[in-house]
Parts: sequence; C-alpha cells; structure tokens
Amino acid sequence: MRKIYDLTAPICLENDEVRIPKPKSAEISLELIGHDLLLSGTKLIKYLSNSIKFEVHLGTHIDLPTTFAYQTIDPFKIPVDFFIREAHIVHVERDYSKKSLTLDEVKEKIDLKEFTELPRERRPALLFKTGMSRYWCHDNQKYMNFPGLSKSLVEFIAYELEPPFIGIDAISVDRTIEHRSLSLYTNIDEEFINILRMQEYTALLGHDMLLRKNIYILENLDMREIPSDVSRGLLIALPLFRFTSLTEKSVLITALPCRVIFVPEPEGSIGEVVMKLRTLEKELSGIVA
Amino acid sequence: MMANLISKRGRRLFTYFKALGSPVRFLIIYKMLDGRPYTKNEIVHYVSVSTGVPKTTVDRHFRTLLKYGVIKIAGKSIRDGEKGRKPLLYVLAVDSLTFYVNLFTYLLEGVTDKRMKLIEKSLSDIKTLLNLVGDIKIKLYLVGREVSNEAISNLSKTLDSCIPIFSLIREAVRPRTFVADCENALELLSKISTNQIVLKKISPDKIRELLYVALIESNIPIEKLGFLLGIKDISRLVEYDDLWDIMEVTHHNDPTTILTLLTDNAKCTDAEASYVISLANNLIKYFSSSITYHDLIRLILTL
Repeated sequence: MRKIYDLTAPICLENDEVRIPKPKSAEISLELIGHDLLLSGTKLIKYLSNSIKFEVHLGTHIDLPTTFAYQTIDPFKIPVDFFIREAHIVHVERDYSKKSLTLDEVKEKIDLKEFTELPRERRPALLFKTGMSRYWCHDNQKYMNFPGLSKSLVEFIAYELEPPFIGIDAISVDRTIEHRSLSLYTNIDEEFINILRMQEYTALLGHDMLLRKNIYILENLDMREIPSDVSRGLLIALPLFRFTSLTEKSVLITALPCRVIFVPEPEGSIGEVVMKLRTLEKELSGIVA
Repeated sequence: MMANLISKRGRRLFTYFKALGSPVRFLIIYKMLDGRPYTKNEIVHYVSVSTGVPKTTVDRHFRTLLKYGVIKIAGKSIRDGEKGRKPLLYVLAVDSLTFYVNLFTYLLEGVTDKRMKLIEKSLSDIKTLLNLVGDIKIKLYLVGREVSNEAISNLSKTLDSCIPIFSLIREAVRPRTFVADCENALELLSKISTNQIVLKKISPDKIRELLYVALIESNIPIEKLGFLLGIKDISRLVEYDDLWDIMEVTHHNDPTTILTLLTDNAKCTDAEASYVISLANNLIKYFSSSITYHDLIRLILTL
C-alpha cells in the first residue's frame, strides 16, 4: 500500500508566536482562550478554545482570480470535485537562490497530450516540487526569496497546458521582491477596484497571466516527503472554510486556505486499470468535445 | 434503457442490473449506495416522496431488488423504548464501489456489443460514461484495494475491448491524425469515392469549395488541376471558375466523379502530391465538423 501524503504546510509556532514565511504586513496569530460557559441558570462551565486570525493568502492556499478582481465568481459554488483531481508532479529540485524556474527545465518532464487531449475541466493539476519546502519555517528569508517561474514557463502553462490549477512548494509563482504593503484598505470601493484592474502587473506577471486564464494557484505546499519516483496521483485540495451569502451581496474571497492531501497512483492491477480508465477518458472526451 | 444494451457476454450482469431498468429501482439503489443499512420504510418513504409514486408500488420494486439479490437483509434494527417487531435492515449485496465497478463493466460491455445503439441514443450517454469513468478512477485511488480481484480483472478485460472501439469513434468524429503523404491521401480519396454514405455528405457546392481551398493551399497551376480532373482543353482555363464551369457543363461536378478522376489521374509528383494531401485533409476537417452521430452509426456499420 502506498503512503498518503499531507502536502499542507504546517503553521509553525515559536512559543505562542506564529512564525511562518510571510510578508511583513500580513497578520497571523493563534490564541488560547478560556471560556466561562453559562449553563442552566447559574452553573458555569469552564472550557478552552482557540482564536485564529490570519490572512487567507498565508500558509497553504489557492489564489483565486478575485485577488486582482478579474472576476467575482463565488468559489463556494464550485463543485467539490473540482478540488479532487489527478495531478502531475514535476520534480525540479535545485538551488533557487538565483535563477528562476525555466521552461527548458520543465518541458521534457511534461507530456503535453496528458493535458491537451482532455477538456479543460478534466485536466490534471500540475504541481512543481522545487525543494523550497525544506526552508519552510527553518529559513524564512531563503523561502521568501524564491525567484519564481520564468515568463516562458508561465506562458506555456497558461496557453498550452491550461490546467485548472497549478501548485508549488514555494511562496509564489512570481519573484517575491519586498512583499511589504504600504497601506492597508479595509473599505474597498469601486474606485479601488478600478485602479486595481488598470494597473500593470509586471512584478506579478505569473499571477496575472494564470489568474486571467482562470488557472488557480496553489501556493506553499509542503512536498518534502514526496519521493522522486512519485509523479502522478490524486490531489485533494479542499478549502478549509465555506461561506455563503444570506443577502444579495456576493461573497468576495480572494484565496482559499486548504488542507492538501496527495494519494500516489495505485500499483499493480488496480494501477493498470486506472491507466486504462485514463485512456478511455481521453477517447470519450474526444467524442464529446 | 438498460435492457437495450444487453450483450451475450453480459447475461449474468444483465440479470443483476435488470434491477436498474426502472427509475424507482434506480432511486432505491441510489439511496443505498452510501453503504448504510436502511429499513424498508425509510427507503420506500424516500423514493415515494421523491417521485410521487405510491408507497405500495415502491414496495413492489423493493421486493424485486431483493429477489434479484441486489440488496440483502443485514439484520434487525434496534428500536429503543418501543414495543413490537423490530423492522429489518437492508444493505446493498456488495459494497458500493464493487457495485459501481460492476455497473460500469456492464455498461461498457453493452457499448462493446451494441455500440451503435448507445451512440444513437445521444451524446448524453457518452457524457454519463465519461463521468462514470472519473468517479471509478477516483474511487480506485482511494479504496481500490477493497475491490475484489475478479471485479478488477473483469473491468480490465472490458476496458481492453471497448477502448479500441471508442478510439475508432473518436477518430471518426475528431481525427487527431491527418494524412501526410500522397499514397495515403489517394487511398483516402479512393475510399471516400466508393462510400455512398460519406459522399452524400458532400454537396456539389461543398466539393467546389474544397477543391478551391486545396488549390490555394497547394499553389498548383490551374492547368494542372484541370489535367487531374480530366479536362482535355486546358487552354480555356484561366481561373478556378472556368474550371468549374467546364465541370458543370460536362456533368463531371459530382463528388463521386471528381474523386474518381483525381485518384485515377494523380501520379504523386510534387505538385500533385501537395494538392491531393491538401484536399484529403480538408475533407477530414469537413467531416469532423459536419458529421452527425446518425451518420457516424452508419459509417461504423460500413467499416
């Protein structure tokens, strides 16, 4: 039986402080709270609980197109099976202190047909194992200095592979320059949205291209335990929360914190049947396309 | 629906899945696919409320499923604080994944033997199969080892026999491979020229258009095309319309004659090869975008 992997990056605690790689302005905290619960008149029961506060773009999460207001789709209306799909892992571990991940390093490791012969909604997710997970919580500065994916690689993903989402064991698909918010706005008005939509995304080109193509980005995966011979499996990236609006105002969530599980492809006769099912899936997709 | 798909090989499975021949019975199974034990009253109530079918009718279907061995008694329920007989609990005879796998095998066997009927019904059946493929695949990832070796082996054999058929259908609907050399192009044109079903799909206007597109793509002189199409007086040919006028006058403008002339006259020189390859590929493109499922059934019958 093959191991099941948890690809969720843990929230690291140093005493009571959360210490994960993050931009300076982003907040994350975990507090222990004691309660006095009033039961039946005057009887009080004490119990412990926790209060968690964090920006949704921290830890393992999926970036949504709403981050840049490209669209306002309610992610909680996406069928849950969208988040449960086969995934390809591309092993590209190396020293990323300088050069970004390029198309040349990746192209031979990806079978284009595995993507193009399926309709977009049935395509596998594409995961990159860069090896940056080893710095998670151990060397936050190194982790934050990931140089990102090259423009040609992002274009290849966005215009040729077009997977429903990609994942990476790094802080971002773009080079993280400073990551310090100068101002924080809590009252988002139409003017802010308009300016946001008109800005140039040169520093966040990867996000811009992928999210415009509705390709969600799964960031901060922890892929340390994935062996080099595991390159295909079932990805279960379930959002931690569900929100629904009780009024006409729609829910505007820009990222989905996730618990991510990876089940490697079965071996033996079951694995063979899975491969045959995959072939059949392509043929049937070709008919209904 | 299911009864139409019965295959000789699938007799045993047919007996089993005859149970699915009614929407009421299907709903009963649907409710029980979660693997939990239910009392008959719970199931009958659920289906009756969902469908508006009287409880007595649902009860009769329930007993049919029991008779065919699709569901079985799992024991007695525990009734707290109440007197009287404890109602029986029922479960699916096999676990839900095995049931899914058996159903899938049954459907595909039906496809193998009676594929035309399946396609004829509509595209939605292919979509249903496609969704079923996705479901089974995910379930095999998660709990595959709990499926019996026999079920896996049966599924594997069925997939071996049905994948080539779907591949054939897919190639006919949306060809992945286009003709690359002159001999293959001529062979294809020759096959088309003798297939009345295919020829009926090409109107004179369409063949006129396709001949013209290939002329532009291959960039051969109009006189050369005139020669390929058996026009003797090529001095009258200045532009494409002249060629077509002559074809109309001589009644050589039907697709059968045109394709026969082309395959008889083309000798695969560079220019001729370029033209016939272009024409063959444009015909493939045209068929792939215009052929209906009804046409497809008839085409497969002629293969």
